[in-house]
Amino acid sequence: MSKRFRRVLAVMLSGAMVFSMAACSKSSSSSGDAGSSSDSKEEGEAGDSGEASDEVVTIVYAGGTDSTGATTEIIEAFEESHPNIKIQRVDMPADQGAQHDAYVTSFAAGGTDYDVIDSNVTWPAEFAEAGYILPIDTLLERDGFDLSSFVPGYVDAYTFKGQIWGIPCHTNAGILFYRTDLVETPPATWDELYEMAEKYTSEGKIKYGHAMQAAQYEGLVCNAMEFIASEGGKVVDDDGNIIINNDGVVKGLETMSKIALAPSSPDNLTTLKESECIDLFSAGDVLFMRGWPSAYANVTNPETSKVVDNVGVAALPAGSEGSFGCIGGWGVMINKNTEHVEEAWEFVKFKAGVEGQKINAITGAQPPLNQDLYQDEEIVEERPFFELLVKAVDSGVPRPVSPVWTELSEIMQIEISKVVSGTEDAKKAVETMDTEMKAIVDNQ
Amino acid sequence: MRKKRLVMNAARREALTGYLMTAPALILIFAVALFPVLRTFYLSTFDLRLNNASLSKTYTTHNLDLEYYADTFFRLNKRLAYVSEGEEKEAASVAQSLLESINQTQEELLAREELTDSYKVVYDAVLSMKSLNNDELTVREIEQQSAEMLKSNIDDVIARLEPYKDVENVDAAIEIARDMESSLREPNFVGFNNYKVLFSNDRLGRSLVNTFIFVVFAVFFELCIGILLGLLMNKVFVGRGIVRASILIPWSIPAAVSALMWRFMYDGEYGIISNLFESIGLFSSASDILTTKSGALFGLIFADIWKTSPYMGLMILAGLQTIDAGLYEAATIDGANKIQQFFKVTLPLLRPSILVALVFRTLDTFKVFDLVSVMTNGGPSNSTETISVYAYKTMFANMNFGLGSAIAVVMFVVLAVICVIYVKVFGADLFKTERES
Amino acid sequence: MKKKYAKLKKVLFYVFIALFLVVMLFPFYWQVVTSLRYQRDISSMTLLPDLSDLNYTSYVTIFTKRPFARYIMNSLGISLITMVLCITVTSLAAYALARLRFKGKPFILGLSLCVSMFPAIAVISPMYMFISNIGLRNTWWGLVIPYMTFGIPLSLWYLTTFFKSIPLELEEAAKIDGCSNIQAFTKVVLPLAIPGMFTTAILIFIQAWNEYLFSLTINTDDTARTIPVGITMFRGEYTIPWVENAAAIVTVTVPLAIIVLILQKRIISGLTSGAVKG
Repeated sequence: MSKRFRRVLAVMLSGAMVFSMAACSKSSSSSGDAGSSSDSKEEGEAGDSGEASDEVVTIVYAGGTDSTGATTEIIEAFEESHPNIKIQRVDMPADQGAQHDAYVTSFAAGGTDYDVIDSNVTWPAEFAEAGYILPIDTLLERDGFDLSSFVPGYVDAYTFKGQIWGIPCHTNAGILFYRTDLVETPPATWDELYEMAEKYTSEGKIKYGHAMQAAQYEGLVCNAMEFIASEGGKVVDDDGNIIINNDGVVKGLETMSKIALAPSSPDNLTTLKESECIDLFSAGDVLFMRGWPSAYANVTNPETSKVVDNVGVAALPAGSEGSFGCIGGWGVMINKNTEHVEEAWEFVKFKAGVEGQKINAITGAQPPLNQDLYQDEEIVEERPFFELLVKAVDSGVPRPVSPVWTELSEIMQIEISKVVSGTEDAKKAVETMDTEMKAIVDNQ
Repeated sequence: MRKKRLVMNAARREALTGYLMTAPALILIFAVALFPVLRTFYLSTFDLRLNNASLSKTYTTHNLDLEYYADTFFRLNKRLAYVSEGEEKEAASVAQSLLESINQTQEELLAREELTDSYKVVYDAVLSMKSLNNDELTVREIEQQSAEMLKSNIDDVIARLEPYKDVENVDAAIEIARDMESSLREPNFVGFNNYKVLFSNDRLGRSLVNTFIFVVFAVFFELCIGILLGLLMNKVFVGRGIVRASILIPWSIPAAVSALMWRFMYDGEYGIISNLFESIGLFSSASDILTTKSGALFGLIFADIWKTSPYMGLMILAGLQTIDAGLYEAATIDGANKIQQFFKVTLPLLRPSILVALVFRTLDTFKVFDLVSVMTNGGPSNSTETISVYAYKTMFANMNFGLGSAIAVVMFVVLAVICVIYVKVFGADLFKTERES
Repeated sequence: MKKKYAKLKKVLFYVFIALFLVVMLFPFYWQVVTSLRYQRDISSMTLLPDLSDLNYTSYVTIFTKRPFARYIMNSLGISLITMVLCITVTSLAAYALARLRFKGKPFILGLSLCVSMFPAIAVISPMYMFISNIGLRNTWWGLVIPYMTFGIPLSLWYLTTFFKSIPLELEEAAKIDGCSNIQAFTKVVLPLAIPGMFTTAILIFIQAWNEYLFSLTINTDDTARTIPVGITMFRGEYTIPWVENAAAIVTVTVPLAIIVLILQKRIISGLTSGAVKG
């Protein structure tokens, strides 16, 4: 049995447990011969970060364009501390859909183009089921990578079939932006938001009330999940069954459509995506906006915004069951077919670890996921608004983790789009979603 | 007699030259494009879903993915071992017997010598977290009997663990056992089932209707404006070079980019075009253009006409170039005015150019994708989904390649029919050589 | 009287042309205006940007933020090669289809059309594998090959109709003078076909220039990207920098318009009327 193999085996069996007799005899006999046949060359090569050879390994890391420079900085910092690993960065379009398609095309062809990829929070289950990515439980366990100080809810989004498939890199959940020059205390409930929006617009203080993402796309589902959660509704249970037909969901969607169809809302609400919302808010035409934390940088930048000094952020308004922000954002995953697992893992650890998150926070303005970092002096000094965000993103609601999520989401997009445009009532939409979503899950 | 042979030789030589001259184009098409096309037909008869491990490739026989099996086997083994050494005596003894049973099953499953050998290699790779990325080695054909045996073994494991769900590690073991079933790769050939699914659902019909509306309006207006543009560009006047070059500008902006540009100009709040339409009374409100079905369809068609009329214009212009000026002179002598000339001389002679322009514009418009996906993504409430967008969402978002390929084949059939109709109506003489008659 | 009428007609014609151009070019003009504003002012609807405070910075940043010059070069190279190869390959085939007698012509034309009947998204995955396997990803050729398969059907059909429209008499005369089929083609037909070939060339060129989906998936390296994908690289995940976007559109469109302006003389010929009559 080779040395390396024994080491890996030992790691995998870490903990007090010993392999059972039957399994042990099986595995040692099967690996005995194979091990000796393969221990010639490959042993010295990859991995063993401590005792690695001088050979420089290049890891290809693909992700959406990052105009903040944080990614470049992380790569530089990583290469400095890991002289044997070079990172070759491949910039992808920042648009989620375009990026997803490029990865799928490459992976479906069994490609080894990318060793590490940025992953949107909705991808892990799908990519895992497709066999494109590597589960990292053993690696996490072996190196004692600590996920316990991460904001709760985020790691769950990368957990599927009992394994962890990637690590999220920053906090990202829906929050409420408001105009501090007009509103003193942000609305605590959706009803309050409705009232305030009506009041301010009818008094002529501002053009429109609330802007949210209501075009027919994934963002609509994020917005809907927040309304649904705030009324205690659930879409999928822990075992992956569709339970969407419940009062909480109906009530949540009713609140949503009430606000969407309010006279104070922009007429073109059903065409709004994030960028249009930011444009409306930056032009000073809306009182409130539902957005991701990253929008803060846009609406407070004098180059792009007219309301720079009047921006406040708060948790989203609450329904009868509390306030929830939908979890979004990005993490990192490893290509299952990579030839350099250890090196890729080193980079993942760095990018999602304390150092990577810190650079991402200071240079990239992305709130860290590791809660300890909110006490970091440098970060507190550079990014004072993070403190507000922490409170706002306290209760995140993840989208269901399912390999068929995009299909389920598509149905929700179509039906909720009808609800917010006022062509169908919430009850009917929920019934349709229930039937169609069940059909998809049953068919899987 | 001899003369006849000479003629035949000449004919043969001419045919040979013909084949030789068409060969490069044909070879390219065969080598590069035909494979994807045939593959699409093939895939449309499989239940092929990339986001489902056991359906992610086409299988016509029973197979076992050794890599997947080794991985799940290892993990299941580990969990069961934990349970068998745990505090819960009852669960422990069940786990112990299950351990024996899965190892027993494995021995039978891999009884064939070449399988045993491969499995050793694979198992070793899995343990050292190396990916093999080698289907020939890892995905192996097995007897249907063996597949059923493994399945019943897994069912047995799940059933016997079920009562001890609350014991630590048992839940995880059940989940892994379920996952293990995905290592079986069973035949996923489904014949025409994908088509059945398609036709039982009215989404195909609705997207086809949307596409037809889009194609009919867009192509008709593009043709009309194109003819106008062609005539215009054909005229001799000062500055026509500039006019020709600038007319082509709309078309030279990539669809993926110009769609975004139009979304910006159609914006219900700040869009210049939508506000313009509102002020001339075309829409009652600027926001209608992207929030209502008819408005959104109109917006899409308008943007497409703007973009591709120049293309039509250019094709018509080249067609006009081939018309003998002498014919106009003759028509003038016969006393035909300009309008009569257009209908009696120009239009009939333009017929071949119009046919080609129509065929290719219809093909392209029918496949419209960038424009719709960027501008409306099928919304509001799916009222502008065209068939390409439907196929795209099925294939890339939902990763259902079987169904997506079936949609592509439906598109193919519809387009083939349309092309045949065009050729029948506008002239089969394209296929003939004048000298043949 | 008649002269006056003619003059009026001429004026009306130019007015018509002017109006037409305004309508055609307004969306493009709006990009020019937008590209000179500041992002915070993009909601403004004045027909002119603030002339006293024009913002040229995006014309610089598009080149500094990303290798935009490289994208332009790639697009030019790929489109040009595609164009030249397509025209060379298909002008031979189209001539044969138009003039020579042999069996299977409808089959050839039909087959080439079939290729265009599949949506690009159905073709992209196998095409990716093919290009990947022959090791041409992230090269010009990796896109030239798929683009040719789109270009060939169009140019084959188009040139076939074009060759057919060239008067047969000229060729017959050449053959009587002892030219072979090939010679008749190169000496007589080709010169006459120049306008049609240039038109087709422009069509193919811009078609390749505009393609997005294949370029996105096949050439993912920044050194091999083309313009349509390049422009989308300026976007953030949740924000669209309209000003940079507009600046990029203007930057790539103007040179293209100039190229067309130079080439356009070739698409009009003093064709054949004289020659045939003579």
